[in-house]
Amino acid sequence: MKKIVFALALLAFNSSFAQTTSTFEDFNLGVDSALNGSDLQGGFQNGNTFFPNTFDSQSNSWFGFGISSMTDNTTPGFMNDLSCIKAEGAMGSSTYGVAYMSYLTNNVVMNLTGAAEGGGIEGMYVNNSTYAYLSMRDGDGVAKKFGGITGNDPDFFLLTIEKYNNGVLGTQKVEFYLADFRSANNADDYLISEWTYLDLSSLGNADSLAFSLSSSDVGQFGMNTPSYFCLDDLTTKDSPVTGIRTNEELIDVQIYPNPTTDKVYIENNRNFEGTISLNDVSGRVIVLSDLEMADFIDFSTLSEGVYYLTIELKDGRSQNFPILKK
Amino acid sequence: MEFIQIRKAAIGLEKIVWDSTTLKSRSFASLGDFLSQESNVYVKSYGGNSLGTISVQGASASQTLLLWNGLPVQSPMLGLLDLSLIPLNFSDKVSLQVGGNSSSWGSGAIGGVIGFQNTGNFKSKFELDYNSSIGSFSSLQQDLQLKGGSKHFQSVTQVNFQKAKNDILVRPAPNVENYRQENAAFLQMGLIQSFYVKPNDKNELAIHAWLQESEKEIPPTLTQLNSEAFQKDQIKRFMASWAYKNKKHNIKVKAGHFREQQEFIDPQIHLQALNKFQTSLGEANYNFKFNTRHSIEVASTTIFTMAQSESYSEVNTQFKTAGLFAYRLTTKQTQLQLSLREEWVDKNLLAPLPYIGWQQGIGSRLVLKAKVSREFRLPTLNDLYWSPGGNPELKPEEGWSQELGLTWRQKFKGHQLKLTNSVFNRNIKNWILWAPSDLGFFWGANNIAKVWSYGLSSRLDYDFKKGKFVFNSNLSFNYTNSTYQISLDLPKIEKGDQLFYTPKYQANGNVSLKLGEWSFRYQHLLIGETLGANDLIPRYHVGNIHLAYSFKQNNFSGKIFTSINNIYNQNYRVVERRAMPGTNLLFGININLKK
Repeated sequence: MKKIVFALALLAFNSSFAQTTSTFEDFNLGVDSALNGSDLQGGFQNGNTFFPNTFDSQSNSWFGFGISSMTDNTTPGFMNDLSCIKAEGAMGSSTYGVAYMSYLTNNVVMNLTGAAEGGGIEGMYVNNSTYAYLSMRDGDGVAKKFGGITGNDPDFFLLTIEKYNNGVLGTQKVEFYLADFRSANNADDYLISEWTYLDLSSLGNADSLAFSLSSSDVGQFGMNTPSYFCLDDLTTKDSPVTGIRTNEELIDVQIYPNPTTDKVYIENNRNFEGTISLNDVSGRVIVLSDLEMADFIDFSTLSEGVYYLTIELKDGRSQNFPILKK
Repeated sequence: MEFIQIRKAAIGLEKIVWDSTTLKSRSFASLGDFLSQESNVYVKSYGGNSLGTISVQGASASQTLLLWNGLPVQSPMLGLLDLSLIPLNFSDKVSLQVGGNSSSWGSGAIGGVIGFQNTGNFKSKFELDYNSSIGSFSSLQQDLQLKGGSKHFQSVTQVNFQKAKNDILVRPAPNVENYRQENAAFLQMGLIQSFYVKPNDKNELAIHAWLQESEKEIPPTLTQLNSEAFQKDQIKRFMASWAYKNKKHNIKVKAGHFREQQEFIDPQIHLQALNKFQTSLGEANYNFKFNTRHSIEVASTTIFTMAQSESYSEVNTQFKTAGLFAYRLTTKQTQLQLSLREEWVDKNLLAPLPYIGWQQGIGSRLVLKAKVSREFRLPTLNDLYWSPGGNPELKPEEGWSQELGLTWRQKFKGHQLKLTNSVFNRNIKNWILWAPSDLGFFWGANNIAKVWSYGLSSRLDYDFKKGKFVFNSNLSFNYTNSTYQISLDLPKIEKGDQLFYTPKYQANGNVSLKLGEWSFRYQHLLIGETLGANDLIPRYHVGNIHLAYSFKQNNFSGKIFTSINNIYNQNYRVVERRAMPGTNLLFGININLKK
């Protein structure tokens, strides 16, 4: 196990905090193996981060996060979807994470847990998956070769990272182009194939991170570019960062615990008036109630997955809280 | 003489029939190529010998029924048939009935019905017909037909061999270097053996065996560096039919057994997928004529299907049986048809399918046709059982369609004019679409769409004959508005959007001249702007010419022919990111020996 735990004494914002890095190495994967959630545990805990996974046993398909030590960076296609184009993890490590987006939300959310919950985030390494990289480089039966027929198409593949804190989507975001062909000079076009460090400290305190991918190659059936990227060495500051906390918590209602297996409690200490609703990922309404009447929502009978809890106040303000049922 | 027929043509619908003489005068390799040029249906072709599917009156490919000698040959897994795999020379007759007729034919006959038939000729003692052609892109086609027998027995052997490299010149875009398409080769060998037995004037028995293997490489798209994918199709179709006919009674009984498999292999992505199915079909049909005016028809059809795929959790089966009752009134000027079909699928009784068709002569030159019918299409086995995404709870697509047509004919001194105009309206609910599943990481089949289709079709035929000079021409125009009546995020659909790959406007024209031994034909096709899955596909037009010289001496006849296709060298697309061939040539010879 190579979990790296830093205990650093820093004087930033007059506070001291530890760091935890999710390196994925402690899954002890052999060379060229991967975890895609077929154990039906609903995800992977690593460091102070929970990486959710949804797996369909019947079709052996998944979305969310997988863990991999695959080194095949030459085979294109979806059969090699758990491989990084670098054929190794960041800093030469053997294991890394792979994220695959849902068609519906086009994003995946991971949760900060333990001491990291509600704390700051240092940063992480990202890279292209082999599937997405080779698809953008060479094209496939569905997706286009970036640059298109002429080589001049202003194509891009963009990773956007946002954060939630207390279930509230933050206003800050970090964007990173995994491929960028937008330059007028084609010599400047690039596809990321090296692990690249992203500084996420500007996101401030968070209890979960949302990753979304967007591409210039979009048809009527959605994004053609395979919606995968790889990540490694996510480092959390295991305490709140004072001075950076922002005022995006528009509605002071506490929703906990998240993820949940049973009940999610709603603490409405300021007696806001409005409605609270729970929807599944297809938009189907599962619960609709007056906010003042809601003490908790029972998730015990719901199937595993992501749900969206929405609070709408009478003054017109509203907030969404993604809830993970495990 | 043709004796064994498929079921009677529906009253109230337009039907075009191409006989063996017409089919032999064409040099198209496949039924798909033929229909795209000769009719006003839309063939979605991926180019060369790649996949070709059909759309009639804005219906989907799986909503147009394809019948071989009256039995449906669509894949029960996909619901469609690749028309590029049906050699045109395997048909003695091709028919196209435009408009919904689920009552007669059952599932899938929403847009129309295309039939291709083999027929026996009991006058033939011996006939050899050999056709050979070579063309651009290293294409080679060989057809041999051997007929022989007596007035009581006939054997017909049809052999087809086709191959092509399909290395068309790809012209990707202005200022981009042209290149030759790779991984597009096609190889196909097929055989139909038919035996016809006619012991007397009242009975006829026919047996057909159709064996065919094909292998087609799947070329890269215009935005794909290369492809190594290919597909192998293997077809074994057997059928037998018996017909009895006298003045009052007409009985037809058919049985068929089809075994097919399709294997898709892509070495680049290490994918090998094998899909197999077998279908056993039985049909009995009884017509009784009370007198010259009144007749009834009672029919029953049973189809049992087994399908196997690595993407199915088990071998899936489907058992369906249907009963049909029809009444027909026929007078000199009026024809009326009232039909009702009842269908059971895996013991589930479906809603009855009525059909009311009416045809009224007005004077000697005008014929008015009208029909109202209920339509349906069963989900395909992939819709039901594909993993992930198949949905066993799917309901059939269903709705109503109406059709109104007026035909005017005029003949004078060797001239013949025919003008056909028709309008149609169709509403289908429970339209099956694959959309992101609730879990969000795969697509699933759902009855989520409603589609409203309406349009008009107009066709003018003008023929003239004087001595050795024969002139035939036709001009047709189609307007098809086929729109979703719902909005969805994925696939991205706004209410009122035209269906993908369904052109609103389509026109084609054919002119043929024959003077003695020489014949010339010009065909032109125009397709309006079409919405594809990724882009708007610009309108395009294609012109083809065909020149033939025929010769005959005693029992020996033949012709030498040449075709120039896409004579204006249009750089067009039928499916976005898929190249179509520029100007291409075909030279061929046909030899016929009769005794």
